[in-house]
Amino acid sequence: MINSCFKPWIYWYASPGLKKGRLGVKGGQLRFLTNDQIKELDYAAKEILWRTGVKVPNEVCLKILDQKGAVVNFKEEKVCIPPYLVDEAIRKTPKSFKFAGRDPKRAIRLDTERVYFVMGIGPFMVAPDGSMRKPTVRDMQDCYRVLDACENVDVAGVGAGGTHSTPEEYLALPLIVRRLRKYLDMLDLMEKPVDMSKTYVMDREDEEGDARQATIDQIKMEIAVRGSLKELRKLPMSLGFNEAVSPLMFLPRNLEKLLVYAEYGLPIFIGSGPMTNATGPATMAGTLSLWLAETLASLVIGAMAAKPENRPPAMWMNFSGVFDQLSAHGPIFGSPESALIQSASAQIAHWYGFPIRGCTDSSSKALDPQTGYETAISLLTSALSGINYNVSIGSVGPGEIGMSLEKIVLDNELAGYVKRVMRGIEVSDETLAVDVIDEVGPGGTFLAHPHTRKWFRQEQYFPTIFDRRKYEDWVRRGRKDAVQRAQERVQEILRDYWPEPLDPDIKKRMEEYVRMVEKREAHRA
Amino acid sequence: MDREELIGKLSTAVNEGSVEESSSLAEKGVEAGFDPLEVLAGVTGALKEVGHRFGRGDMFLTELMFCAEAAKGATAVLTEEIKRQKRDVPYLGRVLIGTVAGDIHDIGKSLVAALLTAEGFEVIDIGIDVPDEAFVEKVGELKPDVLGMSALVSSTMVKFKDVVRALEEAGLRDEVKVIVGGAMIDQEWAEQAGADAFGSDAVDAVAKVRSLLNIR
Repeated sequence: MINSCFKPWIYWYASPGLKKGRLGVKGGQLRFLTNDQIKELDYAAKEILWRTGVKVPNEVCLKILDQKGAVVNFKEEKVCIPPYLVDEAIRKTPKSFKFAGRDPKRAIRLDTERVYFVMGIGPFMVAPDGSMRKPTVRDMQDCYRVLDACENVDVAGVGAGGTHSTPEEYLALPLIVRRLRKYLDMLDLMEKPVDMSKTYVMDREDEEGDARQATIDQIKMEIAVRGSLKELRKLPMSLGFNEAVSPLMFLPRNLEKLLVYAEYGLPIFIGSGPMTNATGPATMAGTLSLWLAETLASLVIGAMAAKPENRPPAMWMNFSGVFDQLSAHGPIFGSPESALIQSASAQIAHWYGFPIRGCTDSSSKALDPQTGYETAISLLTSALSGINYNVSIGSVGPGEIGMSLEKIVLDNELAGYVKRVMRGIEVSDETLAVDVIDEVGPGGTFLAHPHTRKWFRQEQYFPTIFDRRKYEDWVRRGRKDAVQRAQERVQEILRDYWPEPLDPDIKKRMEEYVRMVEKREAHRA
Repeated sequence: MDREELIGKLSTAVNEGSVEESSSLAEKGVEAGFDPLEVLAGVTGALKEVGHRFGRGDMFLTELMFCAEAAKGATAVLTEEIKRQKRDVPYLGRVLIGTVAGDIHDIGKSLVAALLTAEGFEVIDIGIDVPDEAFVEKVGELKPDVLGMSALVSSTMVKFKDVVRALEEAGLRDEVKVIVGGAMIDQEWAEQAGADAFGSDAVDAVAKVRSLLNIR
C-alpha cells in the first residue's frame, strides 16, 4: 500500500490494473524458434551432458550422481549425465511457486505465463553523466525506497553495494553479518518481494568465508520472518542462486548453496550465461545448446539431492550475452544477439514447463540515448518472449557496473509501456463500440461519452516521466528532459514515500537473529 | 442532511463528475429550503477545485467534461429556484464563442463553453466554421461581454486578425473583449492578432475570461 502521506495521484493513473492483483502480465507473444528447433536443442544438450559431461567440484554431489547412475570420474570431478536422469529431473522438479517478501499479500506467482520486472544489480552508484562512486548504506536505502515506490517494478533486489564497493559502514562487520544487516534493511524499506539471490556481488566475499553457513543464516532469518520452515516453504522469500560457469563447470560455493536449498526444500535459480565467441560458441544455436546443457545439469543435481517430500521448485535463468572481441569483455547486454538468445531461452524453458529469469540491461555507461534504446529493445523483446523474471530495472552497464536512482524511475516508466504492449487489444462487443459510434455520429466527439470515461484508463498507459505536453507547456515548465524529470521524481519519492512500517515482531525476531550471528562470529574470530 | 453536508456531497459529486447525482443533490437542497445562492456558491467552489486539479495534471479531459456537465446540471436547478424566488441570478457575463472560418474543430471550443456555463456564465455557442461577418453580426446583435474564438490549425490562425479588424471596421471592437485559443496558439500570436487574452487550455480560458471581466 502506498503510505497516506505520499502523493499518490501520479500512481493512481499509471497502472490501475496493478492494484487489483499482483500477478504479472502474460507474455509469450513473440516466438523465434519452432517446436522442432527446440527439440533439436534438447537432443544437442542431452548429447553434450552424456558425451562431454560437466565438472562438479563437490564430494556430496558426485556421490549422489554416482548412485543415480551417472558416470562419475571422482579424480577429475567430472560427471557424464545420462538422458534418462535429465528426463527424471524434469519430471520430478516443481515448476511453479509463489514468492514474497515480508508481506504475503504482495506475493507473485512464478510460472511460464506471467512476466515480472525485477530490480537490476550494480555495485556502484552511477550519476546521470556516468560518474561512479562507492555507495553508502544511505545510498542503498535510497535505492530500496525508490524501487518500492515504482508501481511497475514487481520485485525489488539487492541493488548497489558489492565486492569492491562495500559501504564503509559495513566493512567493520563480519562477512555473514553484512548480508543479514542488508537483508534486514531491505525488508524494513520494501513491501515488495525482495530478491536476495543477487547478493552474488557480496557472495564473492563469501569465497573467503563459509558459503554454506552464509546460506543457512539467510534461510534461518527467513524462517524467523515467516515463523516456521513449513510456512517459509509455502511462501519462500528467496531463491538459491546456482549458476554454472561456462563452459560446463560449477563453482564449489554455488554447489554448497544448491545443496542447502535442496535440503530445506526452497526454490532455486538454475542456469548459466555463456558468452558467444568466448565461453560459448560464436553461433547463437551453439551457445543456446551449451546453456541448456548447463541448466539441465543443475536441474539434475538439485532434483537428485532433494528429499522426495520437499523437492525445491526451480526457475531457469539465462544471462548470456555477446563477448565483445574489440574491447575484450562481456557479456554485452542490450545487443540484438542478446535479445535473440534471451527470447529463445524463454521458449525453451517454457517448452520444459519452467519459468525463466533473464537479463535486459544496456551497455551504456551514462543515462543517454544508448541506454534508452538498448534497454527498450531488450526489455520489450524479453517480455514479449515471455521471460518471466526480467532483471534490469535501474542498473547501468556494461556488465552491471552500477545502480542509478534516475534509471530506476525511467525503467519503471519503460516497464509501464512494455506491460501495456503485452496486454494487447481486447476485442468484444463493448470494445468494438458500434453503438457508441452510432450515438456520437458523424462529426461528434467521443471525449464526452460515458464509454470513453469507462474505458480510457484501461486502454491507455499514462506516463508520468515521459512528456507529452504541448511545446509551449514544455518550455514553460523549464524545458526539462527525461533525465531531469527523473531526478525530480527521485527527489519527490525520497521526500514523500515511506513504506508501511515492518511488523515490530518480525523486526525484533530478525534483529535477535542478527545479534546471535554477530556474537557467534565474534566468538569464532 | 444539513446544508454543510449537502454542499460537501454536491462538491464531491462535481469533482467526481457524477452528473445525475449532482442534479439530484441540488434538487434535494431546494426541497430542504436551503438558500440556493449559497448552494450555488458551493458548486462554483467545487468547479474551482476541479480547475486546479486539471491545471496540475491530476485529471483527464474526459473527466473534466463530466465535471463540467455535473456542475451544469446543478447550476441549472439552482438558477431555476433563484428565479422562482424572484431574486437576482448572479450575472457573471455573456460570452459568444465559436470556431473560425475554415476550421471544423469542435472539442476545445465546446469544452470552454461547457466550463463557462458550469461556472454560471451565459454562453452562446455559434458553432464551427463561423464566417468573419457572422461573428461581427452576432456581436452587434447579442452584445456579449466577451468574444471567444478557437482555431486549431495554422492555416486558420490568421482568421483571428481578420475578425478583430472586421470588428474595428464595424465600430464594435471597444464593446467586447476578445479571447482566443487553440493548440497552435501562444501569447505572442494572440497579441499579434489584437486579442485581449489567450487561453492556454480550457481551464485557463475560463480564468482569463474572469480576469477580463474583473470577476474574482
